[in-house]
Amino acid sequence: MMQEMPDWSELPHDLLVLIATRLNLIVDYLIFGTVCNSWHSTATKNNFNSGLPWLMLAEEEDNEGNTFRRFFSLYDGTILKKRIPKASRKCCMESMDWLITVGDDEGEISLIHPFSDVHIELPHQNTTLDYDDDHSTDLMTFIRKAVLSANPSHTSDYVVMAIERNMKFISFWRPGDLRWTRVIWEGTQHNLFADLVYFNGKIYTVSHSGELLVCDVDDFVGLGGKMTTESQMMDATTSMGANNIVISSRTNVPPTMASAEKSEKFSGIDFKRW
Amino acid sequence: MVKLKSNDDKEFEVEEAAVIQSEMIKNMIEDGCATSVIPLPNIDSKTLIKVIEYLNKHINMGKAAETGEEDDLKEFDEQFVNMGWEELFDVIMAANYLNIHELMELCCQSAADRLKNKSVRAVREMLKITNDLTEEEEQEIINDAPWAFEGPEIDDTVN
Repeated sequence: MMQEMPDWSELPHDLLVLIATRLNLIVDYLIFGTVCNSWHSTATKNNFNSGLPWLMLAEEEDNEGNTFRRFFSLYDGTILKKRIPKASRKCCMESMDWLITVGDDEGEISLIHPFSDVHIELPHQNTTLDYDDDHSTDLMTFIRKAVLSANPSHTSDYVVMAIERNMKFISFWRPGDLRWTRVIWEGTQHNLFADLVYFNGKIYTVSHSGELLVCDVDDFVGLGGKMTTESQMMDATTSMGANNIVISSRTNVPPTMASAEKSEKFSGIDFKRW
Repeated sequence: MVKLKSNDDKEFEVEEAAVIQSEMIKNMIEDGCATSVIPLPNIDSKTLIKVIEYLNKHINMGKAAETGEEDDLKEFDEQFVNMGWEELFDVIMAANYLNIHELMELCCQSAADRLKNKSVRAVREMLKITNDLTEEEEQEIINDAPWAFEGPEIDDTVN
């Protein structure tokens, strides 16, 4: 006996949510949301429950010279081909599902979300401290590693922290900042920074000589996030200095951090507020 | 024993230990409302038989962990959801009505697994869903993430 197909578009919303949250691949989820109206209203961003991350493979080029990347799903082995024109031929560093990209030609720095193509331009590397004094750095490798402290899709209170300039310095940028701000850890100026990670509200960096340095993101996020002019920015950095960011180190360096903000140059970078 | 009556007037006797996996019936029993037959106006006998089969098998869930029968239960679950979309719909609705959490999860997982890697066309065809999105609405969704709809890996077949 053939039973008539019940109306799946009439399945109660709560039950549709139970099904949608089990579609852990973004492709399946987007298709689910295209089937009909009621399914579409179920497939909201909040109901998406992504399982494991995608592994981004090296950039490839098709016959027409367009670049693309393959993403390998650690969840079920699916391979997804995706063009990311804004990240084409750039150095890409991943953090919190975003790519921090550095261009080859101009050395421009951006935050790019590979699946939504949202693009946030960051100040140029020439806004880092004493940039003009040093011409030995390759544009594309100027930033060795960069990490986010929070996902820009969810908040504007985040910081991009980067190891820059031949691994000699650490600088950060917050939404609204017109330039990179250098972090100076007293007693460690001559070190090379090997790695940088964000974990539980703190950014940890380790130097080649084995020093582990820690700073608390709360000490400089939210203070200057809404800055628009340079004078306001200077105020914010002053107050940041006054906050006396605590830094611990294996070699007992003094627990102070000075934000090196002596460059007065204004570079008029066109950045987009997220 | 608790007596359940389907909407086509068939009565089933189920052990209380099994039937209290349904939050709804458990509450009825606790409130003393389950002295005679419990009518289930939303569930037909065919679906109720399936649900009772599930309840009876899962009656000793806690014990299964101790005696190493988890694999057996897993195998049962796999077999259990091996049903058509029509029947799956009815069981999901019954599990929802009776508030049997584990069964709802099992069935919704099965529904999700069947939808994976299918094209929009294939999903609509399989479930006989009429597309009530306007062409503009549909195009707008696709324009948001065109790459999701053009992969050669996506299965367009209906089965």
